[in-house]
Amino acid sequence: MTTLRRALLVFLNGFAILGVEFVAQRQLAPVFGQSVHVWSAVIGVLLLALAVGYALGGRWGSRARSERALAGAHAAAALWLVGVALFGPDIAAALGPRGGLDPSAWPLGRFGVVGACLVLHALPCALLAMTTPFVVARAASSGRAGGATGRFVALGTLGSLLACWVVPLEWIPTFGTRGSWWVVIGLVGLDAALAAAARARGTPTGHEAAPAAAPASGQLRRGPALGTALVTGLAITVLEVGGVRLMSPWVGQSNHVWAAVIATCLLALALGSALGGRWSSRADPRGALVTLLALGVPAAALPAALATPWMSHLVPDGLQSLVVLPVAFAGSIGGALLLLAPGLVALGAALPLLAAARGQRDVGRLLAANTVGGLLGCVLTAPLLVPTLGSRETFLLMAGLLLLAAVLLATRPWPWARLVVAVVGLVVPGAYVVVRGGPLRLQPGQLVEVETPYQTVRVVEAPMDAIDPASGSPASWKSRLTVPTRFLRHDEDAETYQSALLEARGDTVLTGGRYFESMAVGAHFVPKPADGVIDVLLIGHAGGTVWRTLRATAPAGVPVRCLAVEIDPGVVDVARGYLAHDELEDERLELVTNEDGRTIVNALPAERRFDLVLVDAYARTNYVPFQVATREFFERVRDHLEPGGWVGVNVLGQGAESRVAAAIATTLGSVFGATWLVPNPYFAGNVILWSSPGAVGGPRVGAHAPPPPALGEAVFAVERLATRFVPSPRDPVLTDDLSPTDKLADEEFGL
Amino acid sequence: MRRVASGIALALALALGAAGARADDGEDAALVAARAGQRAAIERLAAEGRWEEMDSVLPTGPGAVEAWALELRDRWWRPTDATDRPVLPKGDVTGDVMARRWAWLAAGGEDPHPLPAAGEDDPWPILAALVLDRQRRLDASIATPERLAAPELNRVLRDPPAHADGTTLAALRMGLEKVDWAYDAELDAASEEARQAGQEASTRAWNHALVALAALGVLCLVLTRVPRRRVS
Repeated sequence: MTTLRRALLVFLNGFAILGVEFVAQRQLAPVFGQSVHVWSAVIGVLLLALAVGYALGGRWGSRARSERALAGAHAAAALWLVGVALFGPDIAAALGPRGGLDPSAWPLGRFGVVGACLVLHALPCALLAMTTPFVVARAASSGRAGGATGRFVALGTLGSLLACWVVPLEWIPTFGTRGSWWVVIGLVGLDAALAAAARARGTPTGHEAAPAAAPASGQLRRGPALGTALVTGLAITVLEVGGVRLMSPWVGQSNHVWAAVIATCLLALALGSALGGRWSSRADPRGALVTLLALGVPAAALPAALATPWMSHLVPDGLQSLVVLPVAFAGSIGGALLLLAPGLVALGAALPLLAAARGQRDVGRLLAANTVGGLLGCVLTAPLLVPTLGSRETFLLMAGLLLLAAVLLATRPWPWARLVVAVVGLVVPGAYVVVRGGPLRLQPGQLVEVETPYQTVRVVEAPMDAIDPASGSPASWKSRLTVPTRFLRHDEDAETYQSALLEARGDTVLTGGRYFESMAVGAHFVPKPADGVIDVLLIGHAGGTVWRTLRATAPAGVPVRCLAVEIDPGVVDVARGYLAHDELEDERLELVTNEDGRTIVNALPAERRFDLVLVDAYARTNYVPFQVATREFFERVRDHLEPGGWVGVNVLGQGAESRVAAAIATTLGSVFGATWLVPNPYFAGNVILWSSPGAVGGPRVGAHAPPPPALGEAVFAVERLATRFVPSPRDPVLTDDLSPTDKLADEEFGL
Repeated sequence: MRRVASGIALALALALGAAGARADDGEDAALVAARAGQRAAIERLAAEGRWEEMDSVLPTGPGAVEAWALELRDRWWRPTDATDRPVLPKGDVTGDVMARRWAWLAAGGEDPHPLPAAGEDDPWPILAALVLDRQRRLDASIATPERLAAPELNRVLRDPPAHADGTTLAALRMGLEKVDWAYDAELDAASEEARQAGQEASTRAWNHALVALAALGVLCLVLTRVPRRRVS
């Protein structure tokens, strides 16, 4: 097989592997949600499958006569993926949580998601993963395993780089999940055809035919080599995942930011692989590895010290939320290039050097160990290390681990200069971080910053305009009060917020006319419940402001009871400390954290009913999570609504002109018959969409009792500003398969 | 409480209506003024969105006309789930404007709200404009921007009824201003100044990113040259 064909084979394969990972996550989200434990389980299973595939591929490649043998593996993967595309949703649904909200079973679907991933996606991942070590083993027959590993790993990484941009940002929003499967299947089929076209060579390569020619010096025993591969794999993933978190207070975690950071990281890794392959033929691999690990120490530690000044420079304070995302996108690339890329170049070079030190017969094992390290990095970084230690301290920990690996790998004569560089490179940034302390990003009036498994959460206190709806004057909305207010903000939030607490609270000025009141007014739409209690399902509890407003403004004499879902337990903890959340926690509130709202709705007992369902869910600051905006989701919600019950969805965007709001309104209308859009004239961008089964005349307040004065402005908006939504042909009905809410939001925010 | 008040209001209105029918012309002048004042107060509350306060305005007029506002509120504008409602006055789809409105309300209020015929007086012109405006927003299958226009309310503002005072008209204007505000995409978009600031920050960030990329490229080029020593 020619080098060009091999290169194409590995490049397409790298693309396909990452494509499978992205589409698999998307396929499982409507059943299991997108909580961090689900994400970790999916990535964990897929990386484990990749590790197995790498190990088998290396072994197989050194014995096979040509790459033609790979054609069968790719064909089998393609056939399996056809089954996944056709039957995957049903199989996942069969394994999904259902039938109750038993707290002892939380997190819901913890076994089901592992089972679904094993059944559906593990096998094709393992089959595809065989390619790179197989090709390296074939191509490195001359014994230059390091160079071949460097070249082909770099090519595979470049394929993955392209995939991380194309698949989530273009294919999934355009073709949907199933359509994306077909494209991935086509690529895998193309790979199979490429492999099938290879001509068989006379003799097998590898250790059976020709013993691997390891360099005379720098030989490494298998254990330390695999250990080093694992540590570098761990460090690479910590830099990637932790890097996104380190920069998120300025750039957020939008799809474009994730894609930009990961693509930059993969570019650096590809460069590192190519360089490592080049060095492997020139230098003593063991010595070069010690050098790389020693250089990796300051490269991993310095971002901890540099993140705040560099990111503050790239994304300055004071930008409006509606214009900040393009700046954040550019800033994320600039941040990743300076903070992450140098370390990743160094760490990416390790694998070819290890291959050079061990010979091509161990390339598969080394790739597998590297991937297991990556698995550990995925499972540990966001769920454990960042919330426990903080992202800066996580980087310092990795730097310490690399220093330890360098020391263990070093041989006499001791490379003192390199080790001194590593020690100084750890101690100086570490001391700076310890001495400086404080939050990653400090905003005026900031009270606290907490890094949770999902995001960075801040509470900021500021005097803000508020409307006094009980002033009795129609001009009240222009003569605003200035009230000290605490805002709960996520990641790059500068002026936007997820929860609010007015410190000078009264019976009338609850949230000062903000959207929370526009949602709470829904309790006045529903007919008097048979059991005398209005049951509410609230998806997206955050700091509890909607629930606080609901409690305070419920129809007189009709108590409310709430099942509230908040995916991020860290947000609730912060609210307990700074937003008086404790006073909201009584027998009327059933609060579920660390669960996706979709999973909770999927698992509701069939007999559970609600009078009012409020969807106020946001992921990564600006996105309505796609799985709580689809036709299938609203159909499930409808099944749990009492007769006359209402559903309200809060959408932040370009107000009544928002395409995200239009798509969700169209979807609601397809399930409930009609949708009404209620804008908020006081706080630009927010609209609430309302639907009810069979309703024809729009939402009307006052079924039980006159609404309280505190809801005066919200009631005025319902009665005087609400319009029936009329879908246009450009507004799609969102489905679990095709729900481009993220893409529409990105377009709305200028990305 | 509201239902009781509504019932009392309707009964009083009917009783006063009977009394009014026997009143002579001298008494009528005072009564007409009182009725006009009462309707003005009720329509002002409606314009301001304070429908819940209408119970505090006692009926003074004859017939069922004065009960209209409360019945409209409790059965259409803010429909209650009460079961002990008073019986509605008999409507007539071929009668005068109020007879047609009672018939419209009894039928559920889904058809277009009746307007006075040519030459006929409308005792509740502002309520009618508000109802028609809301009906159009909630029911009409028409797209933006037509759905956002408020021809009925604008007509009232151009040609205000005699009993409508300045406060009522100001409230109507404020309501229209809120509509404009809520549906103005330009206001939801970033200001020109903010866009300019974002553009400058974005350009600066891209420049920094390009410098960082160039630095990484140079670093990699240098690294391709080292180490020079070949392993034997």
